[in-house]
Amino acid sequence: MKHIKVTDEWLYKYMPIAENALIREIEGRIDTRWKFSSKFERKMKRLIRIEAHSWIMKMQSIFKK
Amino acid sequence: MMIDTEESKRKFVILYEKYRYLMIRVAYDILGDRFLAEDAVHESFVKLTQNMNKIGDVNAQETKRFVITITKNSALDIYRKRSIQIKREVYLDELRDNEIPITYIETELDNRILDILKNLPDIYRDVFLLKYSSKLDNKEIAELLGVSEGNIRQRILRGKELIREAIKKVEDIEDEAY
Repeated sequence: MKHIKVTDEWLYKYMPIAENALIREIEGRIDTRWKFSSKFERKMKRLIRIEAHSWIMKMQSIFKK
Repeated sequence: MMIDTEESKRKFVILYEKYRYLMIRVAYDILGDRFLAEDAVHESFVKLTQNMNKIGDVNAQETKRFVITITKNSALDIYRKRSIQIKREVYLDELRDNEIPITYIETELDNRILDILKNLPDIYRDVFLLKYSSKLDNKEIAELLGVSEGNIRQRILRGKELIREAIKKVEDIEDEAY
């Protein structure tokens, strides 16, 4: 093994490789059969509805001007 | 909230459909509790609505990294706030049983060195991933992690020292072998 100098340049080159490996590890353990609770589903639906509503409200206020 | 266009609304829904299982995995790894993990995922989606401007292509690797970072932080926040007693040892045993061997076919970098980068303590690794992989600057990292820029600079310095020390050990062992 060559003697490695830990520089910013070296880290910019190799940290993405380390991160991809970490992500692959996590993805290998994803459980797509995970059953989200009804409470979570309700909260997410509400969040999406609120976000959609805030967008509609913003557009309406723009058109009123 | 930053969902202010039809495009970002559509993007948000795709994010939800695409990444919720990945996010629950990340959160559950940290919290070891189904309901707390769901809270972390919900909290992460709230944060994502505030950061939609930072998300380009939903399918890009950068987006995946960003989603993981946000989720990890949300889970760690919950972990810290609640000071919960997690049966981490039991869970880690389960993890080891299911561990998948990784090959780094796309790199000439020695796997031992890659393991050093992968296994840095979390407080350093997260900063290194955000800086050197996601290419955020220190100010952005500080905002995302809720710490000062000075703290980020310190973690980078200390993290580099840790990497150097670990690499030196590997190199010394190799030198002795020859």
